[in-house]
Order: sequence, then C-alpha cells, then structure tokens
Amino acid sequence: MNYDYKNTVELLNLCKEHGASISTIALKREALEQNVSEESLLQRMQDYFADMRESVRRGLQIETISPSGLSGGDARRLQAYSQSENPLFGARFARTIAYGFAVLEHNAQFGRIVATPTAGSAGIVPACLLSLEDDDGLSLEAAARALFTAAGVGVIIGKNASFSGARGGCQAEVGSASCMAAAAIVEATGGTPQQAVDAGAFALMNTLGLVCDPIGGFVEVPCVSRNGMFAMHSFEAAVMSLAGVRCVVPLDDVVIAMRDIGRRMPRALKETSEAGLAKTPTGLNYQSGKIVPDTRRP
Amino acid sequence: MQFSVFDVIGPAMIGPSSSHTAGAARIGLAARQLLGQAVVRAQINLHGSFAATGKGHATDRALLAGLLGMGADDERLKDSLEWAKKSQLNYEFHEVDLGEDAHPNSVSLDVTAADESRLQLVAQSIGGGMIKVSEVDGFETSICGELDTLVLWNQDAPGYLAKITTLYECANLNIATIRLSRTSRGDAALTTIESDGPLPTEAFSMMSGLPATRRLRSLPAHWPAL
Repeated sequence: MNYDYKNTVELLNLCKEHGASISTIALKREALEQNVSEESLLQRMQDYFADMRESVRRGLQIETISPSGLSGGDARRLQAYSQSENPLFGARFARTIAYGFAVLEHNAQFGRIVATPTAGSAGIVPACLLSLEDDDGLSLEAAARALFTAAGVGVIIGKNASFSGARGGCQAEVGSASCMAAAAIVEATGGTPQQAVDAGAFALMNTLGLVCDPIGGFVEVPCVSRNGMFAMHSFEAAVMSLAGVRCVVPLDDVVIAMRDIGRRMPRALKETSEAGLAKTPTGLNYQSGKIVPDTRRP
Repeated sequence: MQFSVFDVIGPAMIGPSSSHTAGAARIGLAARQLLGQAVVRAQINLHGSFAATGKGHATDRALLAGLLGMGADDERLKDSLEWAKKSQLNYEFHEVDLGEDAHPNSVSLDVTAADESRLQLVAQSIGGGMIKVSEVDGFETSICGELDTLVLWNQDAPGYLAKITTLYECANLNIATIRLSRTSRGDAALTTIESDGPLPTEAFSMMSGLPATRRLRSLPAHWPAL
C-alpha cells in the first residue's frame, strides 16, 4: 500500500480509491513512511495545535513594541474592537484577524511559534482553526486532522514549488499558508476533497505575484497585517468552494504558475528589502534610522 | 519520502523567520554536531539574503545559538550573543559572495574546537526551517538531516565502499542514499550515507577501525531539528 502523491490529481485519486478525506490520506502516508502509529502522529499534531493556540494567547497580550519598533499591540487592539458593541461584519471577523496578528507580533518579539509553513506566514492557519474552534465547535482532534489536511495540501506545494520567500516571494509563504488554510477549513466543515483542493486553488491563485519587501528586513511590515488579512482570504476561498464554485485553474496549475512567477520575480523583491515597501520614503527613513514610523497613535 | 507533513507544519521555533532564524539555528547546530565537540572559534560568512536582511531576522543570533548547541525552539536563542561570551565562543561575521548560483540563504562556516580540530561547512536554509548542507571540508555533498546520516572522512581506496555497505547489510539496515566525493584519485574523500534507521554501535566501531577511515560522525534522523 502506498499513499504517496506528487500532485492533486494523484491525491484526489487516492481519496477516491479509499473513500477517504485528504487528512486521512496525509495521515496514512505519514504513518506508513515513518513506521509509527496514526495515534502518535495525531498527538504530535495536537501538540503543535496547542503551541499555535499558546502563540495566539501570548500575542493577544502584547502591549510592548517590538525591538524594531514596527509592531506590537495591534492584535490586542483588534480583539478589543471585536468585543465592542457593533463591530463591522460581526465579532468573528475582527477576532479572526486579531489571531493572525497575534502570532506574528509574538514572532517579532522572539516568541515561540510554529512555522506553518514558514514563520512569516505562521498566523494564517492558526487564526482560521481557532476561529472554527470558537464559533463552529471544532474539537481538538478535529483541529489536528485539519492540520493534516493543511499539510497534506502543503506537501504538493513543497514538492512542486517552494515555501521560501527568498525563492518565490510572499506568494510562496502567505500564498501557501492561505491555500493550506482554505483546504483545511473546507474539510473541517464537511466539504469534499475536491472542494478542499478547489478552495486551495482559489486562495493561492489570488495571492500570485505577492512580493516579499518588508521594511528594514523585519518580518513585520507588511507581514503582521498580511497574516490577519489572509486568514480572512482563506475563509473567502473556502466559502466560494463550499458554495459550489469551481476554480477554472486546478491547484496543480496554480502551483506551477506560482513557481514560474517566483522564478521570474526580481531578487530585489524576494526577501532582500532592496525594493518595494522597503525602498519607499517611509522604508528608507526607517532604514536610515531617522524616523521610526509612529504606530502608537492614541 | 520526500516531504513529510512535518516539513510543512513545524518546527516549533523562536521567531522571527523560519528560513533566517530557525534554518540558521539548525545550520549552526549541524556544524556543532559534525565537529562533535564545543566550538571555540567560528568564522561565519553570510551570503545573499542572509547577509542583506540577516540582522533583522536575528540570523546572527540563531547561527550562534546553533553553534552553542541550542535548538531552534530554545528561548535562550535571543540572548545567544551573551551566551557566546559566557561560553568563550569567539566569533566573526563576514559577508561573502558564493556566486550567482548559490542559494540566497547560504552561509559558509569555519569552526574550530579547543583541540584545534576544524570543520568547514557550506549550507543553505531552503525554506520553512529546512536546511541542506552542500559542502563539508571542501567536499560537495547533500545532507538534509531527515534520515539517519553517517558522514565518513576517508582515504579514497578500492573496496572501501564495499566494506562499508557490507556492514550496513550485516546490520540489516537499508541505505536510502549514498554519496562519495573526492578531491583526486587515491586522495581524501567524503562519504555520506543516509539510512532508514540508526547504525548499531558495533558497525560504527568496525567502520572507525578501517585503515582508510580518518574520521566519522553518525547523526540521528532529524538531527538538526529539535
């Protein structure tokens, strides 16, 4: 028995053949290859989920500004807004964004996080799963399974493209995370493997071209806000797919496009801070030490 | 298996960057483990993005943390400069150009132990905290650390590899990859073997007893990990 796959076509065939979800195939593939029990693997994933939850909790408490001066306190601000009387789009919207911020703010302050798939994109999958836990009763075991869905789809990106911002720009990090989160949301809420993969395709397709140009080279601007925003992007992709909208471009092709765009993307826009936001007047002023952007408005 | 789900999710790590912080810490740890003892001097040469944005991502602190034997999720990582001072690890950082084809997150390390044994290593942080060691003491190689790995510094001699692989066979241990590179015929060589399980102690001692073996190092699976 072999559960390995190199693309979504093979993954969906395996799902069909075994009448199984993506998370089950990913779990069986891992158990077979590592020669360990599925229970121990689920436990390992549950531990990661606990680490993710802790990084969100710590991030929501941050009141201090990061060593760079570029982030800190906004997750808290968003959470407070979500608890205000009439938050736009309901409490869940702002709260989910707050979770994405929280992980990245914690990360910027040398906090312990789980790379999912990278540190710069570590807020998206946790924000989505914690949102499902809050409002849709996602259990701990279901969360661990959802992480297998996320990683099961991530494997395809890793094999055929890259997660490295220095290689493929932000699309390789936040795009991949969002793709993984969208697929995980769909399976966790009862969607089919095909719908999960379609949600992933929508999420990734709509991050194509995203560059990595952080101010001062710190994983903060735009990364912190981007993790909050792309958690919602993942929910949008999931909603479209659950509604029955099929992505015209299959995920395998979107991954090829992502790799192609990453290769053609100039080095200056791939984690070198030599262009884009890093070289705007704000970015340059920051780099020369003249002005720390005032993010501490009263 | 190429790409475990835990290559995608995880490691748990100290921020801010999986490639620039966690990957860097793992590379430092790889050098420390290949040297096999505490590092007292380190020359750290940063290439590409490691040099350009390394500071903001704490690449320097992460590499030092690894050289000090800390894992990527060790909360002492952020204070590794002070830990280096306390542990009497002398270090120097330089920028280096390893060429157009080099991965943007590359580093070349030259580390020395108290007894003057020395190790040179070139490694890449390839994303998501994963690393690849591409050069050891000037020999080309490719070590990812996913599987149990044996690194042999040996004399290039006829039949050497046959003896080594026989010892694997006797241990009933499956070899996943094997790689030998040498400077010139009959000269020094480096052999790396990845296997589906750890090498038993007896096989290890028999290998170190072979006349052509100069040095060997056995590294557990996921060794630069946590």
